[in-house]
Amino acid sequence: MAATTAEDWSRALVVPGAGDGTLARIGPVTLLVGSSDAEVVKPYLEHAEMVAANGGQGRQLVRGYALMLSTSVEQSPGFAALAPHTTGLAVFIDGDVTVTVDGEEISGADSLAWVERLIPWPVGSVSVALAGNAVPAAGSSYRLDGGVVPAGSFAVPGDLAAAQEVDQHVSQEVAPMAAADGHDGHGHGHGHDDTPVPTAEDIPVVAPAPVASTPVVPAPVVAAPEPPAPPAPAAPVAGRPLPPPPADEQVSFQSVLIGDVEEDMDDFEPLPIVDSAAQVVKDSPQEQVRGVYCKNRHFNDPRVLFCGICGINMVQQTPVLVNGVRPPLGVIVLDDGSVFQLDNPYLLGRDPSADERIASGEFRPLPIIDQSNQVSRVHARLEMRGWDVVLIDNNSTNGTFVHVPKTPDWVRMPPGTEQVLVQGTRVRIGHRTLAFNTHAGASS
Amino acid sequence: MSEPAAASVVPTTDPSTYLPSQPISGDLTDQMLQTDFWTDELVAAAGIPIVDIPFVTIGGGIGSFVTVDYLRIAGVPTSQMRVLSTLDFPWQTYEYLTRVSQVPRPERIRSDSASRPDNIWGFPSYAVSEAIQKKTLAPLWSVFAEPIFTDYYTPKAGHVFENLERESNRIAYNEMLVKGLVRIVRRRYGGGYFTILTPPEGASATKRVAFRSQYVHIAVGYPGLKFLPELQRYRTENNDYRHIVNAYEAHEHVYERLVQTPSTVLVRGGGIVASRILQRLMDDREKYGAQTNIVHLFRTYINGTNDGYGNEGDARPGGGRTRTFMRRRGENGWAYQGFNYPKSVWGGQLKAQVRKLDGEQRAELYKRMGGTNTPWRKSWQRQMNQGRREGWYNVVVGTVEDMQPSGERILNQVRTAQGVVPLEVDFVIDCTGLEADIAEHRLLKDLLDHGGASRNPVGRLNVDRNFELIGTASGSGTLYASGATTLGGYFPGVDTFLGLQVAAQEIYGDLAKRGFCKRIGPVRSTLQWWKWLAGSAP
Repeated sequence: MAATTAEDWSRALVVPGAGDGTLARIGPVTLLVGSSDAEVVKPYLEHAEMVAANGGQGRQLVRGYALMLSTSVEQSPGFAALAPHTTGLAVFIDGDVTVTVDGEEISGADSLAWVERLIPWPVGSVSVALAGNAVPAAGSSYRLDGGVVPAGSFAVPGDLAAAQEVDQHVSQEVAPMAAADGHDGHGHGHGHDDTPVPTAEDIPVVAPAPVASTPVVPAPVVAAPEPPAPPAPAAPVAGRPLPPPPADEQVSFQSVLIGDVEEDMDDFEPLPIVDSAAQVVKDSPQEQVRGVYCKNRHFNDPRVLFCGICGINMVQQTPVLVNGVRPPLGVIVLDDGSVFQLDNPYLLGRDPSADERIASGEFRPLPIIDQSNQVSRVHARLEMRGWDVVLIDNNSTNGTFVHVPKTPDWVRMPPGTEQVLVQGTRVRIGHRTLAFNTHAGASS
Repeated sequence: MSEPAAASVVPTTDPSTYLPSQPISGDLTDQMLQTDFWTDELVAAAGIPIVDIPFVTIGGGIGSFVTVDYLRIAGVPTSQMRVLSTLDFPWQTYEYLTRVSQVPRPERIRSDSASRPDNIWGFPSYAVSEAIQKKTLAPLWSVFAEPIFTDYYTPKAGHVFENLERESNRIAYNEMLVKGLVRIVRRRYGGGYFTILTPPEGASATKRVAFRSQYVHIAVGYPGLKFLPELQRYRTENNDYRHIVNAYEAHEHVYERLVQTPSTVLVRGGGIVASRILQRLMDDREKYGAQTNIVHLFRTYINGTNDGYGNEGDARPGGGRTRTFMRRRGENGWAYQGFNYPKSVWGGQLKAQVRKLDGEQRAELYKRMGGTNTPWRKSWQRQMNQGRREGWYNVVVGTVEDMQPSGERILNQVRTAQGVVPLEVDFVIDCTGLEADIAEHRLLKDLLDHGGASRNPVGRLNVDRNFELIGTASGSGTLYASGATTLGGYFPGVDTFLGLQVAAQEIYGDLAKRGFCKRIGPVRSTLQWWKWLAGSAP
């Protein structure tokens, strides 16, 4: 059985061999580090996890490790990492580690820096061993489907014998699962129609299913020397072994006298009745923004001169942009004196509560009650963008007017446009006026 | 580890590079931070580029401006000096702080007519130039009759800023300005100093740039305000920034709301800022018909003649009462004084007296002339009296124990002489401008720890009579400091316009002795004044 595509590779069998290194298999990425010290292994593992999370691209793997070695790592314990790429298997070796692919030996010990290779599909057997560790024997019954274990070597057997052995492993495990799975007998209709669960009887049957299940197969068969055994039946078998199904949770039944329950009920306050989600107001908005910390660890707008909480001058600390929870950005004061704190976005208008964005909790309503009939149902909205408060006209019929301080006139916002509000900006909707005020100490 | 140069894969910088960014070179090393004297090699080895400039001034506020102004008039070309600053123009912080504490451009600041940071001669004074500009004699009458027949003349904030702008253009201030944050000043092995600047991101190839200079001037101003601890606690606990505000931050929404809804405001503090805030509240009552109730909380209630220790009868070290010639008027809780120092600190007997004092005696005199005070102004007094008569201005004496939100209002627990009293108000405006300690400032703390600087009897930076930081000399190089950080030295009133100019004059004198600049003798002075008047470059 040879891995002919990236997908085959991620389903291949990995046999760990004993030793004092660390072997990790995370999705399609396989990593063997010549150290068992958690601190040493951690950066390598983190990178492997990142690559795996991004889909396991060989190029990303190689670049990342290369960058890591050339910048941050002082003393490398020696490691090898493998990840599939569209055109082949990416192999990255650093230090005294030997990788054997289809009989060809690649060693990191012969090189001053690292070694990286792209071995074109199909890839047969692969074995990796740290210096002084033997490749696991052909008949080994160990295997690693995923996770991090201590190991000194590992092998991905490409020969039929190994594959058949896996068949047995898999079938033994899978068969009871299939039986327990349902009463329709063949495990169909359970979301894995594409990959029929192989059983021992299925092996000799030529199953085209796996080929069909991989939508893009670049047909490398032409050039690839096939291993002696017919590859087709092996493919589904060598597919990533399914984890055993979780056993049904045993919930022990406990009977209680109804009288006791009623007594307990007296201790509870009735929950408040909520008609719509809009009534539920979060106490602390948790939106994240990029900002800087003052010397006393208070989170601030990077543009302010003085900290908004303790008042210290912001020059006391070299500004470093970090993520943090955004504090309220100011207030809107309506001409009747009502004040709205800007920690959530608002919908402004005659009847904003009917809007579904209110119901979903995305916006809060800011009703503009006006007799002039010039206010649309949802007239405009106020959003928080980074550290700015933005007013967006909602294509209102009668327009939204804005007066920026130190300018002579009221200006009608072109319909549907937006404007960043500065300290002291006044907004006119119908016959009502709103003022935006902020405590933030921008200097100009 | 193998040689990165032998890499078979060249790391790229394309956006898909996903590893966390690595610190770029040219940063301070631990070795540097622990070394008091830096060699050229040490700085170069860290990959920090070195720029040679004989004189740098750090801060870039009015203190830096006044100093380079003096030196420019003394004939130093712009190429010899750099201003290292995060500010775009020298009056930026000043304008911000005056504006939010209710002194916008058309209002008058608390500084006298002759203190012109844009004119080292002080002639023509603000009053004269205002009279000429507006073709009116009122300012002249004001300076002639002050303070007996009229209030002290003080210039308008906008007038000050306009003139500063004119002078900054004249001396080509922008040619000397280098934007960035100064991280550290260290003495150089072999004389002079290294000043490490962190330029804005992207402005330079390396994270830091080192300025190698013989003279360094530090005018970083107040380390910052210090909001009251209960205000900080209230903000962090309740995430509420609108009901309790500090006078030194924008809080226009309070006034907006007061005009529309009758409310009660608690004003805390008894200084100039408190009087400005009160005036604004009372102006809004007069102009817009706001129905504001004001509760004014004093910590110390001044009821007669007083000095920095408090009322006449308050305890003083060594007993005794106020000295007849060192006391000020006070009533209704306030201590009245035209400017934040007695006028004689700038050129009178107090200046001469302090110059000779050291240690505890100096601290004692500072204490006696210090203390919170505010100028007596006619229109403001009329409004206050009206408030007392009509019952919308009330005074409480005590300290706040606790602040809690109570619906849309704030419940204060005020500890008074009669016990703890609950006080519920709509807004709290805190006008107690506590100043942070100088060690709060990173640069100054480093100078205290590694630069050889020390503290004076008042706890600020210890400077000599020529404003040289005592203990920081490095070979032939000198480190100067002026402004608020040096309060408590041989010259009081350093944190005023005129104080900054006095400091600049002393620094110029010292530098002239060392041969860095020319002496401003009678001929140069006259010539330069005419150039100032004409607005041509010095």
